[in-house]
Amino acid sequence: MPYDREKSRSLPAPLTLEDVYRDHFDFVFRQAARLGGPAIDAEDAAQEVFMVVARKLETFDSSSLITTWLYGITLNVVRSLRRRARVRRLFELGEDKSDVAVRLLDRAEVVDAHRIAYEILDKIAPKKREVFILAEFEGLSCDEIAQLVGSKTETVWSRLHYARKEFAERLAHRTRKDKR
Amino acid sequence: VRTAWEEQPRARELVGRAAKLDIAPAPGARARVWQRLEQRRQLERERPERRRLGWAMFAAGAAFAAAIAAIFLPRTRTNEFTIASSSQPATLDLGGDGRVVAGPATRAHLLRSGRAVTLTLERGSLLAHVLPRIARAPFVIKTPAFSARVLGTVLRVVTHDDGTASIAVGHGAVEVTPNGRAPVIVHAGERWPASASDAPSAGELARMGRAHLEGTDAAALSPPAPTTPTATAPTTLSPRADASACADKRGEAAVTCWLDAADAAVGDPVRAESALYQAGFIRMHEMHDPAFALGIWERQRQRFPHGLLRDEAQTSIIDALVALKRTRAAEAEIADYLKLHPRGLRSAEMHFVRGTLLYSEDNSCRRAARELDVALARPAAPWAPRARAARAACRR
Repeated sequence: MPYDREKSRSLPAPLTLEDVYRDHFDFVFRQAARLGGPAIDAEDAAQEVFMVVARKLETFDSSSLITTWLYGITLNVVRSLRRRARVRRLFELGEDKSDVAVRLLDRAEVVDAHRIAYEILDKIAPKKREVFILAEFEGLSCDEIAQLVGSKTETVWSRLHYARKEFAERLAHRTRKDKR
Repeated sequence: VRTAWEEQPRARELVGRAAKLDIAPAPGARARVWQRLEQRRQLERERPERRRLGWAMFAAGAAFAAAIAAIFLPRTRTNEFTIASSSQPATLDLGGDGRVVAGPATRAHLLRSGRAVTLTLERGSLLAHVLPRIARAPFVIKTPAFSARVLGTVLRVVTHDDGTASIAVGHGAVEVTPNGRAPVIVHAGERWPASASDAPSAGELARMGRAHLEGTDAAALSPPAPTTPTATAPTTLSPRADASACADKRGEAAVTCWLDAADAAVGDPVRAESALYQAGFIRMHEMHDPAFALGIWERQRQRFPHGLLRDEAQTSIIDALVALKRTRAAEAEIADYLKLHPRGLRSAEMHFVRGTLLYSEDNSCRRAARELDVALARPAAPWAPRARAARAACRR
């Protein structure tokens, strides 16, 4: 579900961690789960995000959108957790995995599509992957994505184009491999 | 003008379906995360700013040194660290070894030497989910009163200020060696000493997480409700002392004895279920009669559909069906087990069994290889060499 931009625009700048947590926990959780995929635990990611919020809330510029600010933090936290998950895999220390799929066993085809999509996305470069997720899963426009990730709209267009191309190629390759 | 993406209907359809996954926090997640957040903030507040920076630099340096050491040192390195929880329980992920919830005011030391893990509990309580292990990589829990060798189970261990300690097993079995005495096996649903009354708190069980409890619940780890005044009887050395008569028998006599014990234990469902399981086990592994064993375990499952040993019964039924070459029935049971326990104690092994079944019936290897890959996520399992060999055969 895309986040409510109008609602977030009209919100007064929250002054306390409690306010931000109450109003935006679901948003942060969803973004963390979407961006991290099954490779990370969304609850852990949300906790890390709000730890950063607790430390940096004083520096938040209330003229900008709180969701944009939270999104930036979530993006960095998820990148860091994904790096950590790669290191854990490298040293065979086990993985922290999201239990999103486990909760949705009754919708097998959706869960299966989600799993396959993230298996493919995990092989795509992080910047292209993020843009793809925001455009295709969250339904954001390139202008909105550019604002969130701090890039030019043209750059976002380019990344999205190549991400889609790579996704389609990898899916086709996977289908061919399965048929063999 | 159609874009390149619009000409990829399969990819768009997949993404469209994946986007329908309605991601929402699990019930209680909001409160859980807030509680953990508050604990961490409290810890941060207690630390002075300058020291915090110093510790961050120290941690960064230590992490870098550890990463270098992990690359260059042999895998048999030893490392040790201390677990100390405040007034709140703390959860610790042991990587491939499992997960531990340390109760309030707990102090323990974790020592890893190669693949062996020793957890020494000085004070407090631990609720542990230890993943199945091979014999040469033991997981040992030490207390002032006993040491327990764990092969893969859910258990709770408590050390009191007076030096006494107790253990409760929720799943699987643990070999407990009291100081200066012979070892005893403590099975699922049993406690040592038998008079122990320690129970995990609801918070600890919640922290352990449903997937990590493997079908065990609070009832399995809590002491049974006292039914007679003799509930305060003195400590029993062997929790299965009354079953010793059957344990001494062999073959057909042992099976009959356990079946009789199951019928006799009318008011004690745990013991009756355990006796039935034992009878099936002997019939299968000592008398090599999978058909009879299957009948016993199916009877067990019918009589105790929600029993403590239901998972063991189901996996044993799968073993028996495989031995009887009833492939379709075995696959259906495996699918059922994996649906209920996607990350269960024996889920990797079930993927391995399914992979070998598929390999023997489907020479294309495609589906078999997928199952074996999932199974090999546990590369140290006893059956892993066979899984690797099957996987290699698939590649050829």
